[in-house]
Amino acid sequence: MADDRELLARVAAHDEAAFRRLYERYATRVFCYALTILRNRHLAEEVVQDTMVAVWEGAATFKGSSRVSTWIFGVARNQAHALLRREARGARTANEPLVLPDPAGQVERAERVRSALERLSPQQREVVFLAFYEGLSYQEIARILGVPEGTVKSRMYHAKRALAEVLA
Amino acid sequence: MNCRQARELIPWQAAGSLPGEERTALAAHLAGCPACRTEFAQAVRLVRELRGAFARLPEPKDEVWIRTLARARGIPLGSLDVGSFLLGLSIGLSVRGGKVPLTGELKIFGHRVPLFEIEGGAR
Ligand SMILES: [Zn+2]
Repeated sequence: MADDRELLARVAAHDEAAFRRLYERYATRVFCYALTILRNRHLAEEVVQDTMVAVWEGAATFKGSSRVSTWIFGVARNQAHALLRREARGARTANEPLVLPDPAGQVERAERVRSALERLSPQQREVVFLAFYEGLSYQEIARILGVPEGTVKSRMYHAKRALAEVLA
Repeated sequence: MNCRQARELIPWQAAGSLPGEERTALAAHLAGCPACRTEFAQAVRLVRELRGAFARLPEPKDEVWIRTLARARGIPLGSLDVGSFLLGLSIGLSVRGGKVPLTGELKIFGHRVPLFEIEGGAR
């Protein structure tokens, strides 16, 4: 099983089978990340496309000084914000419900978790997603967001307090 | 380490990404502070619940891969609104010997109209 770096090196040489595998590994994760920022499926799918095309075209520029995932989420974030700026000039709206209800019972609790997540600011929500779901460290997230580590810690601190308040 | 510092680190420890030095310092604080231990237990539960919530997010449609590959090959799919005619569109896609053929066709009034058929490498 090729690791991310091997796949990315093959993508840099425009190997389409490797590109497909990298897509399989990242499309859903990038989609979810974009959803936490944009809260709109259609826009999040555009971010997946834009991100993966940017990865295809820019794979050769990957320096190898970070994890591939950190690099790809950084690309995704740039694409999501570029899209937000384009959308701000247009009229499409975001703000769909963020998470599907849990069909296997505990619907009420799942609903509370969902609404707690929705109450966070997009900046808090993306930190929570990258930290809790992707397992990235605050150093890695600071790199993706282009902000100081203290800012990431502070966003998490406030996000956690807000979540605990709703979910206690 | 005081409680405020500990509480900044607790979510990261609960997520399992705190670097060694900070992890050790936090562990020392938790050993002597029941309030922060409660906070930590709460954070662990929160991480578990939110992972579950994120895992239930939907997936991107298959069509997104077709569009992505088409764009990677420099095919101007952007001028076509795939979504609007997807009901009548069938898309074949398979990986064969490192090349990924991309085909699509459109059904118009029962007639199949080839939309695109590109063997890998047709850039
Ligand atoms: Zn304490």
